[in-house]
Amino acid sequence: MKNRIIGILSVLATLLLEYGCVKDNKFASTPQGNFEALWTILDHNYCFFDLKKETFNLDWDSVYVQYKAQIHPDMTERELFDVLGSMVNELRDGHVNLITPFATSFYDSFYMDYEPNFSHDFLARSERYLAKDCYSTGGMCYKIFPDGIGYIYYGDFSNVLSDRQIMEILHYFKDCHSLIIDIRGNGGGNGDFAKTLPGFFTDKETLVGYIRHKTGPGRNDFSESQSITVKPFNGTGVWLRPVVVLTNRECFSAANDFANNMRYMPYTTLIGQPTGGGGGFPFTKELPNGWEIRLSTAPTFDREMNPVEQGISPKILVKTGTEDYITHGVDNIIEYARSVLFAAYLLGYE
Amino acid sequence: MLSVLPVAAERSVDTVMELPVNADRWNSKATFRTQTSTSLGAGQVRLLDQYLSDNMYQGVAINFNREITLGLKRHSNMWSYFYYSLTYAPTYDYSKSSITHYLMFHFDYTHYFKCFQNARFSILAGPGVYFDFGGLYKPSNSNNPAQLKSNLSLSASLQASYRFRIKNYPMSLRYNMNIAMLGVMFAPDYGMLYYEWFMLDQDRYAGSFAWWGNSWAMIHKFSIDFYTSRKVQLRLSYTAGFDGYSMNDLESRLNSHIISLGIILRRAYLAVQK
Repeated sequence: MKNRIIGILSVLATLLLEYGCVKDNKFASTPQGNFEALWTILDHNYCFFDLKKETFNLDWDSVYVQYKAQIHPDMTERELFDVLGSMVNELRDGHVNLITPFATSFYDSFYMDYEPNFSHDFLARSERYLAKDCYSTGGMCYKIFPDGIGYIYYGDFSNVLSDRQIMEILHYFKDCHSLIIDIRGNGGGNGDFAKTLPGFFTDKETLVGYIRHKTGPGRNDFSESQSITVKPFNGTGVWLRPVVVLTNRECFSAANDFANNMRYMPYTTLIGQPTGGGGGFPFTKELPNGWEIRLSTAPTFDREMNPVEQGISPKILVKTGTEDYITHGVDNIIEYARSVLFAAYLLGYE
Repeated sequence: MLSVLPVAAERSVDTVMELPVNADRWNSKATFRTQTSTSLGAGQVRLLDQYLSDNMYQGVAINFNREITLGLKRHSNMWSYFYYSLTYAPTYDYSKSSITHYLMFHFDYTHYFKCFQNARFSILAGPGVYFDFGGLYKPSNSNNPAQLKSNLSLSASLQASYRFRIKNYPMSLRYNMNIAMLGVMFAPDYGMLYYEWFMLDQDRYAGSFAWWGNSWAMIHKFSIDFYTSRKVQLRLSYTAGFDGYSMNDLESRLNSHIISLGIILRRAYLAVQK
């Protein structure tokens, strides 16, 4: 009996030792440890290495060597942030951010290296656009132009509207023959909304793209592609008339997805400049010192299986700029869209 | 025919009488014997969940738990044992810069058989069901903000108790171990997005077969019961819970250490023969 009890206690002790410990991060909370942790997290989870190599000739292993040489044990937190922030910007991805209590790194060249083709300040101050006869709800500003075209400016998908709000807006446009949705300057927000809002503009379920996710730490460990479809709101859709979506390089992430999804809706055309991309859904991970790294882990594709990470080109490329605003008092992209829609109206939507 | 009634319904049914009981020995006429312990506790939770973070989080936990032991005179070698608990803990990483909320409901049922018994010492063992449902929520994460924790398994349990007296006060020491053996659990794929689950309705990666090769879930309870009156005793207990899995290149460990103080109510019931 005594031996049995000792045997049972031994087994229990082994179990408790085996499972009673929670291991902490395998990297130390030192500049070197945090560097190694960051590089490894990105190496195991980032989803666009092949695309970035193809587009920018990025070699992630060379990045390791290059930045490891800049790490030394007595560097300050801000010095470490500067080095690590530069390293993550090598990925040229606006979804990759190093988040610390004192600063957040952000790659903004996807739009800063291009002409803005948009001025919210101009639109907000111009009576021709948003300064007069304009309503605002849930982050959407909307009005009806004299030529019978409804206009919506939606600059941030973090402001999510309810179905009722959208229905109220579309009801206000009931006598309009067509609609402009201006998402220039929209840096994204809620990805759900990029999928549900297009459902108001179609009467049938439509394939708009695919998504994959990482299935392991290998750089090419991906799941099978899963289809993304847009379902018509209430089964029938609401607005089945011409729609133009205006885009520029600042359209990123959920706004990029929205542009992609909308271009497959019937009666919809994209006009303006290419979007900024951001086609990878971001995950958040942590470094040993508590800093967070947000990174793209799940790539999305259009329905031809082209990655949308680098942006989407509109059907009609149109530019606008300071000269249009100051000299003519117009936004050339909006005016072009109005002319196209009005001509289509006169021609019976041909 | 003997009407076998669920514990929760006993008091409201006319055919069941409540009988006075002795603290040490249950009334020999009793047909049902129940012992109910209700406790509040506090302790520590330590967790690592690589879906959310590679860092360990820990925090102070609060806990409510209840144990019910039900015996039948007809089957004096068998007991039904129910245990459920609810634990919440706000946990922080080493830098205290980030919070992860931990909330877990646990239920287990065991059908105990007497393996050994003498005047002071008894050992019970038996099969049962082990159920966990809860989760972790890390508000600062983007598309991986939460981790559902769910486990439904067949389990094996062992209970050893030892009765003794200090002066004239009867007491009992008890150790109870419950280990999940085989079942199903929720485990996300390595980089699976919540967007995929909730917006694309793609949940085929969610369920996993759980066994000792890829996961573990066990509870160890040590308790000491103090006699205070004929019907009421106090129970001071330490409960250690160890849950974890290692699959899909992700590791998860949830350890809790709870000290709780509760009241034990012992009842015996006579079910009237019809």
